[in-house]
Amino acid sequence: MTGPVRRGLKRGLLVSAALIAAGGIGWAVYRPEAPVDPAASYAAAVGGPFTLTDVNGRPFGNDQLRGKPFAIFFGFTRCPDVCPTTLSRMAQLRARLGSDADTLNIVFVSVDPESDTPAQIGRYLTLFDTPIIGLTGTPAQIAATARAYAVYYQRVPLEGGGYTMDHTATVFLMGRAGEFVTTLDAHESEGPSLDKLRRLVRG
Amino acid sequence: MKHFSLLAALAALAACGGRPPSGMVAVHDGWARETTAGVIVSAGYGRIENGTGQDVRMTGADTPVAGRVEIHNVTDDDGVMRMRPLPEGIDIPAGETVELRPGSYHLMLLDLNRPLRGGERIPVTFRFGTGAPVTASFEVRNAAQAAQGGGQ
Repeated sequence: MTGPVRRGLKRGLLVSAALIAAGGIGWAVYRPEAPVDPAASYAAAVGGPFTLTDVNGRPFGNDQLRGKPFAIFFGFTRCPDVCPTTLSRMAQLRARLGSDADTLNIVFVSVDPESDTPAQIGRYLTLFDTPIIGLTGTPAQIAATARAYAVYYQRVPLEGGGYTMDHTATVFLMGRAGEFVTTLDAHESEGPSLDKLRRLVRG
Repeated sequence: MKHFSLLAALAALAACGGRPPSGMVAVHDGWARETTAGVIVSAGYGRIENGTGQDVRMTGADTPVAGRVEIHNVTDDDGVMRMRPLPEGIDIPAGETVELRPGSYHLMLLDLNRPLRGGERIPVTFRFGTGAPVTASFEVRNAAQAAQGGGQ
């Protein structure tokens, strides 16, 4: 490559780099303020078809949830703290819906299919005095469902020989056609959560 | 002057949540979650008040209903909940109270030898290294009671 050509190429690269940088700065400066709504980032990504197994060992697909809005939560039955806290809260919120309570389904999906048999999930869910649809499946079915809901989970061995599961503990609120509506924030007080549920069931 | 000392005493009482300094470690409002057949883990909560003049460390706990008890903490990592054991225990500085509560520090009751029924009471013994252990009576709460009293 001769000198002038190389210089020209170099200059071209520099100009391109400068333009890209300027464009980047311009984009960063002129980008309109994005609304700070963590739920919005889920909208395009959350939900979709799944095939799992209910507590009676029968196949259960997403189509069986059509027609009613639902709140869906991923967890595991050996989870003594976060999962019962969330499910108790859902039971309490549903009770607060009064006459609208029956228009909402609550769905619990296990992220620990190796331990959580349909019967085990069925027993676990009797602890919460509200009907909850408990689902498990093969590891592949669980993985596909978690992927559809952008849910992370990971089995973590503990030193004492046991294990725990790290998992996304977000409650996703889904509409009648299975479309994503919003999430419940575990840290928000009852009022805002109840408002979201009322909008969901009446919307 | 007399009034001043009375006020000071009242202020001191108020600062301790209405309790005079106990001079010892006390566990208040202990409770555990109800379970059912086949569910072999529960969680225990409560407030540990260090009324002594010295820092203490809660190093472990036992209860006759569980094969073993671990001290755990939960962290919320941008929506991902991670529960981890705290094998070193929890430090409780002199005069302070540490709360074990849902979504935070808690006792993990493992290998339950029977289901825990709502309304019953179970003894839980807290260990403090070489210090004297403290036994508290934990109330077993069902999901509705847990959501109202000890939930958020």
